[in-house]
Amino acid sequence: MIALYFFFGGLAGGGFLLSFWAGYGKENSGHLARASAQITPIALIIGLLLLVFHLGHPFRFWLTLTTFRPSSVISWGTWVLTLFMIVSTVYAFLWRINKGGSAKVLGWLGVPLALFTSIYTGLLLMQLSGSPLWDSALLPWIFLVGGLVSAAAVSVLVLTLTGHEPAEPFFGLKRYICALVILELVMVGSELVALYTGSAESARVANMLLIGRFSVWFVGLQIIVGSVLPLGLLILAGAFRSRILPVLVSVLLLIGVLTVRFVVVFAGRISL
Amino acid sequence: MAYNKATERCKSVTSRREFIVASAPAGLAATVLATQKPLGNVHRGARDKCYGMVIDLRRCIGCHACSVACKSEFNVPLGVWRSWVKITEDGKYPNVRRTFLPKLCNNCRKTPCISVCPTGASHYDEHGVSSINQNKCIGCGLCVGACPYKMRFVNPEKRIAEKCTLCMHRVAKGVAPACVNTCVGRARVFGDFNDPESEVSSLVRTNKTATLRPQLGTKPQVYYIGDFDE
Repeated sequence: MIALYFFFGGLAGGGFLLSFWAGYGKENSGHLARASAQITPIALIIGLLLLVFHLGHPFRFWLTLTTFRPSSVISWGTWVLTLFMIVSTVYAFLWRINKGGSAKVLGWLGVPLALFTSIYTGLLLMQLSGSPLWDSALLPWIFLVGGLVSAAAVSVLVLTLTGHEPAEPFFGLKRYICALVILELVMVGSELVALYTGSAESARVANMLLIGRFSVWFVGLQIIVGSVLPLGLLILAGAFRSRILPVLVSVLLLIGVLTVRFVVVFAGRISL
Repeated sequence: MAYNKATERCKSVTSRREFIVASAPAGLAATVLATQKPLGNVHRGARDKCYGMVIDLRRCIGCHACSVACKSEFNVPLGVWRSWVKITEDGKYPNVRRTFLPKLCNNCRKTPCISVCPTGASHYDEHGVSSINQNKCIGCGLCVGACPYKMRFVNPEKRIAEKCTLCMHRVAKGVAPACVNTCVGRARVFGDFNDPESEVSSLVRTNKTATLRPQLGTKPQVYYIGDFDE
C-alpha cells in the first residue's frame, strides 16, 4: 500500500512539473501540458487516500495538522501535500477551461510544492536510519526522477489512447524520457556502489538485490524490463511512428517505476 | 502459592511503603521484599533522573525469563517483543560458542524515534524516559524504522507503536522492572545514572562497558559488561 502511495505521489509531482515545463514549451506542446495537468490531482488524491489508510489509525490523521513538529518530515509533508492538492486542482481546472495563460502563472507557485511532493516520498524513508537501503541521500532524487518518468509515460499513454497523433516521436518527450532513464540508472548504480563499499550490513542488502532473493525483481524487472528495454526501444526505433511503440514503452517504463518502489519498500523492510 | 499472591498484592497497592506498613502485621513484608526487588531511593518522579540499565553479559545464561516476564507484564501480542535475548552462534563444530545479548529500549538521550514522530506521540515523559502516548499515535510506523536498535514495533492489535517503557509504572511504585526482577543470574541491573550512589553508576565506574552502535551518537542508556556481537 505504501509502495503504491510512493508511485502515485511521484506521479502527481512529476505530472505537475511536466505540465509546467510543457506549458512553456513549443506551441504544439499545449495538449501535453493539459493532459499531464489533469493527471496530477487524480494521482494525488489516490496517493493521499493510500497514505492515510495505511496508518494504524487513519482517523487520527488530523493530529498531524494540529501539531507541528519541525523535526518530523511528515509534519511538513502534510501541509505541503494539502496545499499542493489545492493548487494542482485549480491548475488542472484552468487548463481544462483553456486558460493556459493563468495556469502558467499559478504554475510558479506549484513547482516548489510539486518538487517537494516528489522527493517527500524518498525523504520519508531517508530519515529512517534503521535500514541501509533507506538511509540514503540519493533515495529522494531517485524517486523524483522516477516520478517524472512515470508522469511522462502516463501522459504519452493518455494522449496516444485518446487518439492524438504522435506527431513527433512521443510528443517530443523522447529525449526527455531517455535522459531521465539514463540518470536513474546512473543513480541506482552509484547507490549500489555506496552499499557495497559501506558496512557489512549494507553489502548484504546490495547482494540481496543483485544476486539474492530480490534479484528477479531488481535486476530483471526494474533494470532490464523497466529501464534498459524501453531505453533501447526509444533509441533504436526512433523513426517508428506507429501507436504500438509509445504504448509499449510507456507500459514498460511504468512497470520499472512501480518496481523501484516495491523493491525499495520490501527490501528495506527486510533489512530493517 | 505464596509467590504469586505476593506479586498480585504488590501490583494493587499505591506505594511500596504503604503496602509494607499495611501488610506488616500479616507478616507478608518479607515475602514481598523477597519477590519484588526494591529500588531504594531510585524514584522521586523528577526530570533530573536518567534511567537505564547495566547488563552483565557474563551473568546472562540465555534463559529468556526476562522476555517472558516482559510479555506477561504488558500482555505483548504474539510475534512481537518489548524485550528479548538475541542469541548468536559462532564457530564451527566442535569449536562452537553461543553468546547472549539481552535487549530493551536504550532510552537514548538523542532519539531518532522521537524526532521523526509527526504528532508528538513519541516523547520524553515526566520520568525522562522515551515513551509513547497511546492516544496520540497515528500508527504511521516511522519511529519503528527510525530506531537503529529495532526496539519498536506496531502492535498488531492496537495498531499503534509500542516499545519497552523501562517499566515506569513499576519503578514509580518503587519496584524494579519485570525483567530485572525475574533475572536469575542478576545480569540485568536497573537504576539512575544521575545518582552517583546507584548500583548502575558504580557498575559503569568500575567495569569496562559498551553500548550498542555508539557511532550513531544516540547516547544509549543501556550499558553492557562483557563481549558481544551485534
